[in-house]
Amino acid sequence: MNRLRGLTDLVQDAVQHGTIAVEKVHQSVARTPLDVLAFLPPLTATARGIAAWQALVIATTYDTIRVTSAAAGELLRACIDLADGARASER
Amino acid sequence: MSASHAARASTRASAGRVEAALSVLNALVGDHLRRRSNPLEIQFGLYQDGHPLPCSRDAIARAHPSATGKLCVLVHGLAVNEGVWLFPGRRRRTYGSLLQRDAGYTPFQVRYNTGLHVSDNGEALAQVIDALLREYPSEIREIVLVGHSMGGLVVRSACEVARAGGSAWLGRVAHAFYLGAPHGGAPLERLGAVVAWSLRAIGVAHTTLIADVLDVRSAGIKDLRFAHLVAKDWQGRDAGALFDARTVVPLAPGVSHHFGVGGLGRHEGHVLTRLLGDALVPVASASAPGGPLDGGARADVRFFPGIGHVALAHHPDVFAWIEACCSGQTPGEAP
Repeated sequence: MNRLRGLTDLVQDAVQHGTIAVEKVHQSVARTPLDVLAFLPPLTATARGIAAWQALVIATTYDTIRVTSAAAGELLRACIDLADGARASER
Repeated sequence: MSASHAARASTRASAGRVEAALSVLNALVGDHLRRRSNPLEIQFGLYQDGHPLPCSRDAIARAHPSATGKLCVLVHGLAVNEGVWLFPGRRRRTYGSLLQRDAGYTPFQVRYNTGLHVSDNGEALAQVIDALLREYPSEIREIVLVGHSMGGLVVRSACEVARAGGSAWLGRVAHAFYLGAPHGGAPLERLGAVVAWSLRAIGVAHTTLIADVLDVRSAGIKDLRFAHLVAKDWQGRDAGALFDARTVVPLAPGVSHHFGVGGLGRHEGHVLTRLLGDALVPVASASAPGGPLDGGARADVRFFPGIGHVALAHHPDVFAWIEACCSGQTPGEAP
């Protein structure tokens, strides 16, 4: 059971760190064309507005993945604790 | 074979696969597991028949009812556990069991988290041998240390800890065997460091992401780049450094050091051996002492043609050499 707890923690760590790293790349790639457009004076304000909105959508998406993974991890840990308790009372 | 025998064999095989997978996991991210106190981390210790052997007088007496005054300690390498010492197709035959049968040594095997720094594992090994010296049921007259791959570096690191701390056990070490140990560093890890550095230098988000993933590899793997043996080799230093600035550690005094070197080719000059060494460690790295011979230390090198890196841990020819060295003959050549 302890190993299952360890595995849960490890998968959760991997999801947290993985999403942070991929989000950085996603944000950078998505921002590049809008940064170029922002150099053109008539489009500067619009491009910046879209960039801000896009960054917010991307961040929210990855935050949702992280929160869901954290919640699933907590649920799994609670199940492991319950199973552990049941086994102990059987003994 | 009865159904219960088959079920037991199947359970044993599954348990073995889980332990093997944990060894690989510890090699890759063992330092992360330690930082997070993750229960998947392998704890340093003596193991027998796949189970931890407490370093207490009672437990040792139970495990070795006829313990002799001669000990051999086997230290495995990166990403494996003590199962690497088993001869193929033999459930119990290892260099330890053969040394017990043929030369009266009492064998001990360690298992450890190979993702930690070599110096951390060296310190842990020194403490375990210290505890053995205290708890052993009879007087220890002679110790033989056998390290395979990274285990050879851990043995050298433990000897350095014992030398610096004046531990009594070092004076009883007669022989230290290094089988395919990368004393001069591991080219594969150097390549990994160069690739990670180059990808980061490009400075594009995608390549930086790949460099980040590459840099997740453990401290133990990074130590293999230049064979770091002591803590000051990595403390306060850049983990991705591309240049060798390690401390020169002398070979332990008063000990016969034996360097077992594998090679894929039929002889030392064979093109396969020159290019690939034993498939993981080049001949030059496995046979270089990487430090001066002080205080009466002796060293010899033995080349094993046609024996690859992993096979060095369980090969009859290697055992014959180990046995010959332990019995006073030292076939081989000076490094």
